[in-house]
Amino acid sequence: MNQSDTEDQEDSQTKQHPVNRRRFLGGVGAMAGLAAVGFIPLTEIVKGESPPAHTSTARSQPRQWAFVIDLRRCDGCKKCTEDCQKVHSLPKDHEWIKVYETTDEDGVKHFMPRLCMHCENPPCLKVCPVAATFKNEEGVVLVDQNRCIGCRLCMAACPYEARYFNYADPPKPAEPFDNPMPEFPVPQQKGTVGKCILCVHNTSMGKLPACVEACAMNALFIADLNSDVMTNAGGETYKLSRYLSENDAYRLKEELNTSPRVWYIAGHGQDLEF
Amino acid sequence: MTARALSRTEIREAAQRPMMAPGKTWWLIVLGLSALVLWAAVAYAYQVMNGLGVTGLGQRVTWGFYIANLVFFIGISYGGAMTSAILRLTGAPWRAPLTRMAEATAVAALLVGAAFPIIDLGRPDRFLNVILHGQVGSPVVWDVVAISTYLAASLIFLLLPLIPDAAVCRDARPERGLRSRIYRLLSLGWEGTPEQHRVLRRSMTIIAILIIPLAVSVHSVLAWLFGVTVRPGWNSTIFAPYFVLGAMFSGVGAVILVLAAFRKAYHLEAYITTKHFTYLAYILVVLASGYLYFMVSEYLTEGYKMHEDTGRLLELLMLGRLAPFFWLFIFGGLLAPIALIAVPFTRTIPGITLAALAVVLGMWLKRFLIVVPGLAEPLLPSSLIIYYPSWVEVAITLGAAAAIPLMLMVFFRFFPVLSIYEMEEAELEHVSAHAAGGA
Amino acid sequence: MAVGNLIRTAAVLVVAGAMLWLAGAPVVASATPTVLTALPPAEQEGGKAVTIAARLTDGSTNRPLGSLNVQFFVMTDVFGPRLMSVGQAITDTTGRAAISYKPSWEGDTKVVARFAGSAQFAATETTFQFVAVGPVPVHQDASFGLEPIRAWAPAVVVVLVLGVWATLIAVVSQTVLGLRVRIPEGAPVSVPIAGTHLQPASEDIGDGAS
Repeated sequence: MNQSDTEDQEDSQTKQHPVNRRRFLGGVGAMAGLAAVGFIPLTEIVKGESPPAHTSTARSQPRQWAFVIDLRRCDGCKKCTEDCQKVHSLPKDHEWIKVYETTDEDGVKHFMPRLCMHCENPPCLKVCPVAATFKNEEGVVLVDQNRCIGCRLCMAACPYEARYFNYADPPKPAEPFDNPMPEFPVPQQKGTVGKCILCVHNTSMGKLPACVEACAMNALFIADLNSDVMTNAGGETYKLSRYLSENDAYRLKEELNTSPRVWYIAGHGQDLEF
Repeated sequence: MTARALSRTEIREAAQRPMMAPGKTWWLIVLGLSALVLWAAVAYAYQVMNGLGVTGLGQRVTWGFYIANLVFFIGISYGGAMTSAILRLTGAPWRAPLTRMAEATAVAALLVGAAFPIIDLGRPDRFLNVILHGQVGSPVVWDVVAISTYLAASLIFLLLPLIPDAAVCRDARPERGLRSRIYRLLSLGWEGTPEQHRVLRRSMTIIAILIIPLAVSVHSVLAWLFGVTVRPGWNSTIFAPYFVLGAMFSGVGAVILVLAAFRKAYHLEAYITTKHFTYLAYILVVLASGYLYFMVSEYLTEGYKMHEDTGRLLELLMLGRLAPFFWLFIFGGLLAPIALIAVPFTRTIPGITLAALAVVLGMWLKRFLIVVPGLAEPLLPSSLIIYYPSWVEVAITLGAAAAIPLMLMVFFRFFPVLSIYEMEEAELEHVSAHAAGGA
Repeated sequence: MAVGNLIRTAAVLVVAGAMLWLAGAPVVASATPTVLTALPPAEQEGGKAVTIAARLTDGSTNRPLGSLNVQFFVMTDVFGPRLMSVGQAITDTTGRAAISYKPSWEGDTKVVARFAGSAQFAATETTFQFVAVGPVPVHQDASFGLEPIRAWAPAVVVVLVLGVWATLIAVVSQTVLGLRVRIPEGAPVSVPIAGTHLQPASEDIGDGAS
């Protein structure tokens, strides 16, 4: 059950109980007792009535997807890039989520993943001559590769270098998919531009984006601005607005007024600016 | 000094000299140019079949030779606006022998330049989407609209004074044939009556007035293709006037080259004299100084602050990998032409032509130095990307450069190389001014 | 003798285990049982934040426990049921820990308050529900600015472009129509370009080549 999962994690995060002989002696009984204590609150009802089934009020609102990256945790393994490329059948030079490496003056490497910022004021959308780049109702910026003429002005305009042009045919998808659409542009079309789609094909079915799922360090969080929730592959879930303000979250190139939807939690004291 | 009077017959004969049966040299040159154009066509076909991966472009430097060529060739077309329109409106009579060549160069350069956005597209088969799904906020749409409007205006501006000239050609060829039919069609029944003169003069004045803001709009819009982004070197507020001035500069240089070539080839020394070259050279110097001023303004304000991205770009251009090209442009493409023209010893037709050649080649280099370094400089922590063009891009560039003289040579086989109408108009005005004021 | 020892040891173990089981804590035997009592929020003003609180007391003596950390979670269903951490607070002298929580959706909200336990006190948690009252603000995209100008500018540009094209077409048609001159019968086919009143007597146009 989710609850015991979170409970175990809470245990590991809070003060560790001193392990000693007495705990061993009462081991099994202790476990049984704990379980009993754990179950009681669930059935303990304040008002004396059984809780109604939790209504999906959050789902009745539309989503407004966003992303949070905890730079304290990223270790540069690039599993996010790999998995994204595998799921969307991308060539090696298309890194929809790209992990940048910087080295500080002590020679320590720091990693910064960057995906499409899904800006609220996207420069790429403004300059597209044929409106092939558009924003869906969940705030995700998508590309219609059936309309893109490949002029690449969007790539010149993106301040985050987040878009990639298909100079050649991409590798064949592992499972043949013959209906490429903006929400799942697989396979990519030669001569058009592609970029991170925040895995809307996953999120629309209640699954996490590929990179969020792949991150072993649980550094990537998918967030919903409407229900104010952020969560990651490990199940850690926080109230988005509170977490961002408590952790001094920042966005890249804030001064450009693109209003990006990807927040970073700074780690290691590295420079925030490049 | 006053040259001796030019009779009408002399003017007409000289203007139609290239229309006579061409000699061996003509065929050799045309064949050579056609070969280059053909090689470019083959390269483009190869690109269409295999995709843009055959170029040297990448994920960072995503625009290269093609976009530099776009800006360059459209810029070349400004010679027409400059000499024909501006000089016409300012009433400079000496421009008369130059207008036809300038306007024809403008149209040829525009046709070549307008091809480059399509050559650069990843999906040229979807070009019509720009019209079907065009977005008013996109600089690419602005480009398409501006270039097509300017092309239409330039064509009209070329064709209007061609009407009386076509009448001359029509009358010179009593035999029936396709050529006579075309001349008759083009001459629109021109008979030289005062009424027709009035109509034509008025139309030309309107187009001359209209073509100047149109020309300004075209290169401004091209500049905004870069100016609306945040890339270093592109994120500049003076990009539009910078580009317009650069276009006029390279355009006048190109006109000088065309004049020198046709003058030599068809012995038009009596009509295109040292004075024409000298006046054009002075205009070139003024434009060069203006361009230098814009560059100083740009680099001084950016260099004073050395903001991260822009600071790195300036280092790259002035002291880094691209320094040889940058300083070659400054000294060879700006300062040397100014010197060549300023010094009386070199202010000769060969000297001026050499200066114009330096200007034209230098401006191509400058366009390249605007497009590529702005993309090569990273916006997020990573390294500089080096861009090398592939044979496809080089072939298409050379083919485009060859296509302009090729089109001109073929055009002047069928139409007078000097604007008979405007030359006679200028002569008459001069005569009537003399008669009225008494020399 | 050995058997007796064995039985005695086993009995001690069983009793000890039972006592530990009765203590019910995975910790040092003296962990005190605790109870968290939920303090659900009062009437909520539509869309505003509420205070969710819980009181931590000693399970056996009912005295309040202060200076202990209580965490609060709300159940969400984004990507399945997940317990969302919404804050934590330290209990005051009355054992009450409270945080401010701004609901982001209307309707049933399930809150879990949890005390993770310490060396002395056993972990405990409680769940309660309240109904969040709307209207809850929906996320608005950041405004870009200059909205009125951005609304009108494209129309102005389109009008200008159409005006230019209209002028070009008008000039061309006027020229073509205006040049169609009726030539009277018998007139010479070719007339010199120069207008008649300006035509000089001789073939030469005059002196001065420019």
